Parts: sequence; C-alpha cells; structure tokens
Amino acid sequence: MSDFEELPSVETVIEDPASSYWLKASVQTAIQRDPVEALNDALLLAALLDQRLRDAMQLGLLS
Amino acid sequence: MSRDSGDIGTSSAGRRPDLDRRRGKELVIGRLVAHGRAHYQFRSEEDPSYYLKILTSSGPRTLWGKDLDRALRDAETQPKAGDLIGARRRAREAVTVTSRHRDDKGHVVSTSERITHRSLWVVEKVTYFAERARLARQVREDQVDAKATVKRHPELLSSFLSVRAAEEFAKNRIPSVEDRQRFLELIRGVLSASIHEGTPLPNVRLKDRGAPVKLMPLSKRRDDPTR
Repeated sequence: MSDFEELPSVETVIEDPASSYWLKASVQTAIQRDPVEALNDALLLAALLDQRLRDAMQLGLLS
Repeated sequence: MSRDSGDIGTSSAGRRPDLDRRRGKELVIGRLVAHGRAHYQFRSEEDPSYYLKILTSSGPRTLWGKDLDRALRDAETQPKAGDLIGARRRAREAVTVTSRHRDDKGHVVSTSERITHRSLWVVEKVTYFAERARLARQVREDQVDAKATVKRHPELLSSFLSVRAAEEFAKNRIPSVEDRQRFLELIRGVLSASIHEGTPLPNVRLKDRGAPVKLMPLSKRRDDPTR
C-alpha cells in the first residue's frame, strides 16, 4: 500500500466544492508550471506554513 | 519471526528511524489522510497494529501504534479524515511482547516473551494543541488571574490548586527565597508541560495542614560539606 493511495487527483481537488478557493487557485496555477520547480516551491511554502502554525500556537494566537 | 509490539517508530520514504527516535515527543502536524487497523508496516507476517497516514509539510508520513486506535476513539475533538491534526507520543508503558517463531510454511513453532515499551499517544485536531499551549502559558505565568481562568476552564482547577499547594508548601517549609522560587518554577514548569503535551491533568486534594516538618534546605544536599 502506498502512502499516496488516498490522495485525491488534481481534478478531484479542483471540482470538489469543499476545497478552498485558495487551494483551487494554487493547484490551477501550479499545474501550469515546471513540476520540479512547482513542487520545490510548494514544499517550502508548506514548511513555512507549518512553522507559522507552530509559532501561532506557541504565542496563543489560535483557539 | 514476527514482531508483536508493532508500534515502535514512524515510517515514510527515506526517513531514518534513529532520527525519529531522537525526536521523542515531537508534535506531528498534518492532514489526516487515512487510518485503520493493519499489520505493522502493511506486512502480512507482522502483527496487528494501527496506523495513521498524515500528510505533513514534509510529505506523507505513517505513524504506527496499537494505542493510536484508542487515542483516536478517546479524542476530545474526534478528528476524522481530512482534518488537520496533531499527534504526539505522551508516554511509554512497559508491555510484555510475545514473539512467534514460524517455520517455512508460516506455522508457529515456538513463542518467546520479552519486555518492551509501548507508546501512548494523544491524537486531536490541531486546535486542541493550540488551546493546550495557551492554557499551559496561563499556568506558567505568574500574573494570571486564577479565578477568572478557572471559571472559563474548570479543568485547570487542579493545576491551580497544585500551584497554590506548592506555594503554601514553599512558604512554610523552604526558608531560602532562592530555593523557594526555584521550587515553584519547577512545579509550574511540570504542570505547564503536562498541559502542553495533552496529558491528563493531576487530581489534587487539599489535605489538612499538619505541623510543619523541618526539611533540609534545597540548597544543602546531603553530601555537601558542613563548612
């Protein structure tokens, strides 16, 4: 069983009414880019957002 | 031979188990992709375990642990697939593991027992950990308005009582101001860490005050020279 088995396809994410507009726009933009560069940027973005969330938790800015 | 414990460590492509072990009680944050019962590492010869597949900022990650099943069932926030969750090992308990030795046809030919440790987990929506972090700060900080906070969060009563009891103890029994402060910082730190990690809060009963007992000051250890 692969770790990616349950991941939805790009089309599913774009058509899913539960997906946020930000995610849909990001996916649509990203798939027009070079896959390596897009993933490289996305990983950095994910790491930045992960850290931002942890910082916000430590500062008590989330509830 | 199969491994019954089946709940030690995490796995994902390219991850080094020694690094995972060193991380200890890190909070794994990510989107819960899937979870369920399966043989450890999805290998049929391994023993039944429980897995969480989490999409983290550094890629997919699979956590294994028999206690993950309980942690999800008992979770206050009842996370489900698609939620942003946090998972943290909160403790380890000693368990007896039975290893089954099999022949070429897979039949069990002998068993042996050994003591190992099983991780106990807390798995909640990420907002739970944010709230716990906030509460931990409140207990840690000196200037907190205890009455108002306990009114909003009755679950913190025992923590505040613990701090109050520690203050009372320190006032009556620790003569050195420096030692007193160090002791109270230690108590606040322990309670704060406990809340932060999501572990159950201690129950505190106020006992009647007996006669003060003379204790050796913290600054003087038993082996310290007397002059």
